[in-house]
Amino acid sequence: MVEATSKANGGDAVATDVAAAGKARAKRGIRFRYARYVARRLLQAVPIIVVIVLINFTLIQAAPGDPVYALIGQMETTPEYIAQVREEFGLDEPLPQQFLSYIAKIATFDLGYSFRFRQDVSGLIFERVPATFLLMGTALVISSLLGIGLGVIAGRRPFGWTDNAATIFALAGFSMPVFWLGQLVLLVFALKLPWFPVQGMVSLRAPSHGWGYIASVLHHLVLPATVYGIYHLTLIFRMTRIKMMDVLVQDFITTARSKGAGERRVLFVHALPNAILPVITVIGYNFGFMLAGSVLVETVFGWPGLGRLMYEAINARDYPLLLGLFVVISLFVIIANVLTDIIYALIDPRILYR
Amino acid sequence: MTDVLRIDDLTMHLETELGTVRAVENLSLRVDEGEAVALVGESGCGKSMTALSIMRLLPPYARFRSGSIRVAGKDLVTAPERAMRQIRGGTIGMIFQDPLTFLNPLRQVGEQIAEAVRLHTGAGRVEADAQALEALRRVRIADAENVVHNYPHQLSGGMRQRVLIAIAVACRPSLLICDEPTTALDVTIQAQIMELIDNLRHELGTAVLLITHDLGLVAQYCSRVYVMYAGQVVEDAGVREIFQHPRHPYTQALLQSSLRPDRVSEDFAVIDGQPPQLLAPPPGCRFHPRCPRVFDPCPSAMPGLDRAGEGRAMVRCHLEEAHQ
Amino acid sequence: MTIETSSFTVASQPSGLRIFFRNRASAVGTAVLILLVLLAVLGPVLSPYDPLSIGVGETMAPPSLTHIFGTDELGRDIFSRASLGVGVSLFVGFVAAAMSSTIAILIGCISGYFGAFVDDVLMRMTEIFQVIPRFFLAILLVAFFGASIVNIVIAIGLLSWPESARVIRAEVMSLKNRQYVSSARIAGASTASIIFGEILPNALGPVIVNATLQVGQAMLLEAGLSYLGLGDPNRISLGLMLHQSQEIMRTAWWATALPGSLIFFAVLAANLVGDGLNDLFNPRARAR
Repeated sequence: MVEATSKANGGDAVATDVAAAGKARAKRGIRFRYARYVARRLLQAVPIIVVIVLINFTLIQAAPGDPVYALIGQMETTPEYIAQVREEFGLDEPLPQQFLSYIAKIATFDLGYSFRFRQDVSGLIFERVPATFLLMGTALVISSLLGIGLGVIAGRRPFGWTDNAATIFALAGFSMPVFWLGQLVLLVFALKLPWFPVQGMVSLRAPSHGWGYIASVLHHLVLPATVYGIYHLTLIFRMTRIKMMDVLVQDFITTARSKGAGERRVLFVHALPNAILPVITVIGYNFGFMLAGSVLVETVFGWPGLGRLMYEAINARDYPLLLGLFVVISLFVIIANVLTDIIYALIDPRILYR
Repeated sequence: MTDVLRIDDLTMHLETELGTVRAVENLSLRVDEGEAVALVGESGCGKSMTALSIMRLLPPYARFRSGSIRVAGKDLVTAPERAMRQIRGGTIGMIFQDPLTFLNPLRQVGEQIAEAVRLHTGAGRVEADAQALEALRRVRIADAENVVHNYPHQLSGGMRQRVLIAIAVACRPSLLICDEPTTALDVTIQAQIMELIDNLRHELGTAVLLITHDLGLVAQYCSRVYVMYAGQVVEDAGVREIFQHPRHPYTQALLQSSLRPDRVSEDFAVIDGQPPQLLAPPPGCRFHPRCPRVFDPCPSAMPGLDRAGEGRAMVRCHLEEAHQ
Repeated sequence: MTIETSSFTVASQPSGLRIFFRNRASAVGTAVLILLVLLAVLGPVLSPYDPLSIGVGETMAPPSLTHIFGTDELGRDIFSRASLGVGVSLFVGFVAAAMSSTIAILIGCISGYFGAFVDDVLMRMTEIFQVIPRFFLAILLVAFFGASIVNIVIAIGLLSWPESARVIRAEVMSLKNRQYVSSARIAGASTASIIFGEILPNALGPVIVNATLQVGQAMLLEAGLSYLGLGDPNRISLGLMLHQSQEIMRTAWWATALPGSLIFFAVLAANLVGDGLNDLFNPRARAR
């Protein structure tokens, strides 16, 4: 008996070493698979980028009228400028040639010139990116936390009164034009009750840097971020709720309970990680949809981001700017997709073994 | 000998939208220390619901109507949720039919075992990991050092069932409930898993409640049998008694069908007639619509579960009453 | 008919229509849709004012007995305009949804039925379409080809098929090896009649659910495009009214509130009906 115990102890010491070695080996294997997975995902993005460029090119060629106007916009310009653009994009050359030079231009981020803003399109766009990301980021953090939290609560007791209330709220949010919600909020909280500024990102009287500047931006951020947040909240909530309902009836939840795990542990340690994967996918894959919402929200609140720029481009029929925005936004969407898949694989390594 | 589980006159109903499902009715059952007991019946007869009642892992629309489930001096029917958490995985371990779906796909095997340890012993992370490794060795997993870091999808069916057993016995429970533990496995693996459960019973002194439809397993590994039909126990006897002298016509039919290995199936399709509806069970003896030896009292009066013959067998049948 | 479930048998199943209307939400949704259609059809007839003529009332008059929804900055009657707008919005919603469902059915069926190479190609294409930011592509299409109602419908319809196509494909794949399909094949039925006669009718549930939900999405998309200034200036849609009311929002809240709530109710109704249909075709969501 004594001998057996000491043997077991000795065995344990050895076992710890062996365990460490095993862990290291398992880690190396998974890293390799991971690298291969990321590389494959990146490669898969290439044809999509080509298609995006092809769409742009087709639009330029197929739009009614001379393609040169698709590269200038409906603007009063000089014949010299028209000739210059025609020359620059090789519009007199055969189509395949034109396509190649168009790809080359886009590859170097030369997205053309906006005659209306008198500025390079790429510069114009990248100036506006931070404002959009600030708005989207804020709204996304708030709506994810609230949406997932509400989804867990509602999904835990499906068809209870909390669930019904939250579901009705979400369905309403989901059915409301986001810009109209913005208009209503603006009417109430900026016009009738002058609590928040009506338009813009920072007030003219605010200092140009420091805490005063930040405070002014935050003050301007409240309404658009709330409206935009509600829009996402409904999506994230609906998804989380459904997935929690799915996961909570699965067998491994029974195992967790049969181990003696408490309700909170079952919900947050066992169910949520399994439910959240599709939610992350939905957030990531809907990045384009989110940017679409941002065009509308930014337009309502005069928020100087990509969306507002798009609105200005539409109303000036500034075609080069529209095309440029489409390319940049598509790139963001593709990046968001790849990132989503990478995060997915981090949480669920099963995908690496397919 | 002392009992680790004693169920007295338990009635549990499921209140569904379609009506009351009489899942368990007036069920009494006892498991003694270190003993292996079988609960046998067709699928849908309420045997899994009995197991889930013991663990109190029932759906929210389940209601206990009467009776008690006594484990370690507590009545689990009325025990507070906090006490149930101590029982689950601590005093009673449970393993299930399909080993893949019963493991969390996103967590390493070792973590899932260590969790059980930490929930019941207050052990630290390192200590719990060491115990998880030991539990894996206890269920005879070769290469346990590597397997701890594997995810469920990387393991075979038999390995997964071993992992589930490791989780269930990690805290050395006094009772292990096995709900159809081998149904989803290959025949060769089935034997290994049953051997393992039997060995653990001897090593750890854990009593086993085996829920199954496979009478072969019962003959090999259990000492006593409860036969369940339509939410009720219809026969309760020692293994030898049941195999040599089955008394209830349902038990007889079960035995006959299991003697024809070519026709054994999970729902004993060999017995004539539909399995009963627990939503609206037939009046009188629940088995009478399918019983080959049905006579006068059967359709109107429910027979009691009474002692029959010289042994200690208990049978719920009018035929036995007529004999006496 | 008896249906075997895990622990008991159920004698009969309530009929589809009963399930649909027992769900109060889908009944309300259907009623609201009918009301809106009635408004679109009867509104222009009932209203004493021409929606297009200027100065039928004071400018920017608040809602009153003479102008129940008020008037806009040019003194036009908002109720008459909004009832025309509901019609345009519903038209765009239904036609675009029908169009995208047709594309989705074609691609989903072909991809799911033939599998192999055809499936690979079509699904790669579908994936690419799913990644492309569709709202922005719709903006480009309408901006380049002109803001007409036809272009708007085409842009929306062309862009919202991929999700449904994938659902249908999965459905077809699971159905194509069923016995009744094999027996039709052995009996010598043509490929087209197998797909559209044997498989599709059984895969129609998710198609209908998706199409209904898309009606709402299409109405939202149209409203968004119009709001950004890409609406057909010759057709009053609710989105276009919101675009025009932007300037007078400070003084005339009703010019914003009323057309907006009509869009909201129309989309909500479509979503409610869609959810009800989903419960009907997908009993898993109906819980216990």
